[in-house]
Amino acid sequence: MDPSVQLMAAVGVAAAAWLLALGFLAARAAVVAALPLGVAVVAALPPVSLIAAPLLVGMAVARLPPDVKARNGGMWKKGAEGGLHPGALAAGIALVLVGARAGLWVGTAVLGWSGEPVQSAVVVGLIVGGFAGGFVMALLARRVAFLEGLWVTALFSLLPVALADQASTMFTYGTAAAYFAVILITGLLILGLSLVLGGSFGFLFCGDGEFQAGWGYEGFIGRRFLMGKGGDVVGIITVISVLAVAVGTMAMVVVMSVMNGFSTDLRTKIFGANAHLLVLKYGSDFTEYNDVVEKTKKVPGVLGATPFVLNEVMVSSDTNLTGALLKGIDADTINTVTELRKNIDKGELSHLKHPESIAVPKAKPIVDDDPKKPDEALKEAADDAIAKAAAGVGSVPALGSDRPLPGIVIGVEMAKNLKVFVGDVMNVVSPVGELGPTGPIPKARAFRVAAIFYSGMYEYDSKFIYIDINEAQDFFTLKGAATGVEYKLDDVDNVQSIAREILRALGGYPYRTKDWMEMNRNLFSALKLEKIAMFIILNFIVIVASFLIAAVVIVFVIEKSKEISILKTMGATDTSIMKIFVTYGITVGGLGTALGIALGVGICWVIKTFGIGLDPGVYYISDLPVHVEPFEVFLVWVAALGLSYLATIYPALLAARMKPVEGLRYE
Amino acid sequence: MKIEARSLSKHYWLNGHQIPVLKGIDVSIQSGELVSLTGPSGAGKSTLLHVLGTLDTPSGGDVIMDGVDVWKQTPAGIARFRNERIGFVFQFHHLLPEFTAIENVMMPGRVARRPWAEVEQRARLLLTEVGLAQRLEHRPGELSGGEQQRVALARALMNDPKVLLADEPTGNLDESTGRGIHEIIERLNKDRGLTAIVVTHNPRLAERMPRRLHLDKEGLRDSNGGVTLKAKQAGAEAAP
Ligand SMILES: Nc1ncnc2c1ncn2[C@@H]1O[C@H](COP(=O)(O)OP(=O)(O)OP(=O)(O)O)[C@@H](O)[C@H]1O
Ligand SMILES: [Mg+2]
Repeated sequence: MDPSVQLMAAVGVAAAAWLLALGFLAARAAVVAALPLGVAVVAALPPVSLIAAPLLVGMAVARLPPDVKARNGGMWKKGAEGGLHPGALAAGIALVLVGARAGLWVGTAVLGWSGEPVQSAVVVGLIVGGFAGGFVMALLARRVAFLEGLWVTALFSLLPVALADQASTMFTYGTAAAYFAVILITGLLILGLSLVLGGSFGFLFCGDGEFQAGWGYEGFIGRRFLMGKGGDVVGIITVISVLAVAVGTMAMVVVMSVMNGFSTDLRTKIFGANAHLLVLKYGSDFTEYNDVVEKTKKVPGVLGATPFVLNEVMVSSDTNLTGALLKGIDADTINTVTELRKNIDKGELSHLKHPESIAVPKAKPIVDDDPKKPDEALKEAADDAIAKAAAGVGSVPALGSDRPLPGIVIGVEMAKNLKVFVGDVMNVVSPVGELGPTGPIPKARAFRVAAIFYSGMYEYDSKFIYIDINEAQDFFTLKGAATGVEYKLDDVDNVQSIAREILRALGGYPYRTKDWMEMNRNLFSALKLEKIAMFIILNFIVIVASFLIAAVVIVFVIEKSKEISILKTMGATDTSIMKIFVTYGITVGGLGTALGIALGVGICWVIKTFGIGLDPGVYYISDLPVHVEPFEVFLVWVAALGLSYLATIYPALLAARMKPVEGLRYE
Repeated sequence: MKIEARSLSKHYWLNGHQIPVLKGIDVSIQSGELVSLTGPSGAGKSTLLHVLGTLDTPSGGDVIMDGVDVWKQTPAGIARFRNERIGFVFQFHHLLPEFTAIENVMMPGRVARRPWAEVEQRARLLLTEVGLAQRLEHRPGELSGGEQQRVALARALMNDPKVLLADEPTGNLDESTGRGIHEIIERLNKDRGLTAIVVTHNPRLAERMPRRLHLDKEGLRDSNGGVTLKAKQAGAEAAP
């Protein structure tokens, strides 16, 4: 892709990351300097933070309030009252760098990957390095090193800017800067989350200055906290938080399933009407297509093959005129490749070969439209061509001759448009006619509608028409040549390697292949972009839900502050307190996600079973499609549970940091 | 366990203003001593108890227990120290409302990660000792004030601490119930050599203690001139 577009995106993402890092640094410095919370919030806002960050850091360093100093706080100190610990920052950068380099090395040198797949190797490196870095940072800084993690992430956002040329080799798909930016943001997000996750684990298990893996009574208390004070089986706060998580999870499952439904629907329709792979030939003498079919039918992965002729034409009926894509097909083998036979709504596909068996209507159905149409002139031109054809120019059998009219299959939308029915006659005009004395003469031929199909794709139903391949070769004077051979494969995602096998079987040049991805590039890249956009929107739902969890757990921590103090007087450590609330959060998250997934899958089942009607005129689909993908549901579950954990970290830390005396002074 | 405070001071910060509470306290309490702490409200009795019990950080000076400077340890070390050596009893008993009496008593044992069966057996024994064998499965909300305080006392004794720090344990109880609690503490002191500091506003209960400390704005002093007293106020400036 264009390196300058990519550089632009990388600079944008880095700028955003730095604004965020500076904002949080400014806020932290304001807190260390014991300034009011309002100042910290204002200082963190993007344009202000640029100036506020260095100012406030300077202030926090220069004149630290004595009480903060007394509590062992300070800008570069470790512990709960510290700011940004330089040692931890350095360790984090080093470990993430090692992780990313190792990932790159394993991906390129060991596994021999190149291009797009290298991304995943680097991401795995970032996850491992980020987790290790976060863990070590937590040990050194004696806290979950949020700010340090943010700064490591911001520093790493500079890498794609500095190494733009190298990075561009990893981005071969997609052409929009937005696409690149989204990938970068996702990468940074993954790094940031790995750092926080590593940091939280580091703090949970080593935060008190000793390794402490026990999670016995913490779990017991955390689960008991789910109960109400009066000994109710579940407390009201628990109910609210479980419902919050459940609603978020349910929304995700339903939205994703409906999106899947739409894209699965689209895919089936595209694959139903289209082949997965084409074999084409350079030059216009593809007459040996039957040999090609025979040679390639045995290639593993190939389910069917059929030759075809494709050309653009104009079609007209008595009432209307439209452009169309005419495909010459072999009615005997088309069934092995596309769903055309299944999609036939009226009439018979086999009548293409035997036009004599098409039922000819006795009387023409009455057309209530005024036959005088604006495009009358065009129609007359077509009629003219037919007349010329009838007069012996071209090879059209004259109307009323002994030979029955050849059959044609059209889509429902075109049938509506042209107002024709099975058995009616319509005319096809080819722009590639013979050269007459006054220039090229369009070639026209009359066909009888043998069948009408409905594929469910408006584009196909209004544009595609099918005739017998021999008829098409004759019509376009191809001298027995086909445009190509189309294939159906058992695994559409494996199309590239099967294409290679087919080419090998054919001996390569002058043959070439074209797969469904190339044929529908625009459509599928639009779909991919849509999926990314949807992913971001869905993430917002989840982020809102996790804010809700965080808020609920914060309220819960405040409500339990007395209990926290009491447990601390008994010798419960900070990390034990954190474990208690993490247990609470995870249990709430677990119950919520389980309930949400059950509800979501249930709603999908209801939609599938009873159906929600859509306006077919708008969506070209009669019911809301749903497709529940178990793996994606699993991902939603993992993500929602992970987010409940992440959302719990901060409130749990608040609980852990409470001083034992805070809850003891009052009843 | 021997408890020593060396020029211990504590001040709070409120809106940037320093609020001095303890000003250079020096005191030494021998192992096995039973001490009462009296003084006017707001003198800093609770604060002193919290600082001695590692619940609050001192602003200056050291707390030394059996020769160990407690605040020099890691957070985990301080927590373990609190768990194993010190038992607390507060005026507002502070039981965990979600848990039954026996679960509350077991809690310090579980914090120490001792085996469940052993902890449960000891909790049963302790509750029987304080006369609550019939109330094991009651939640705090289902116990009377005196019963709650006895559960709190049993809980403080769970890990067989060397020191008991009691902050007005009988403040909310009637005279005779309060005396009952004090008798238990006296017995523990005699039988197990438990070192105890009991804050009380009740002079009659304070009278019963072998050693009496008094804290007011002048500082901490021994009100009966005890032999081990070494209380003075360092650098105190009398308020105008
Ligand atoms: N967190 C705090 N911030 C500011 N001042 C505080 C704080 N906690 C206590 N104080 C002040 O410290 C002083 C001593 O409080 P403390 O609770 O130790 O008194 P006390 O001797 O136990 O009184 P009482 O007999 O009424 O319980 C009080 O004047 C109180 O206002
Ligand atoms: Mg008090």
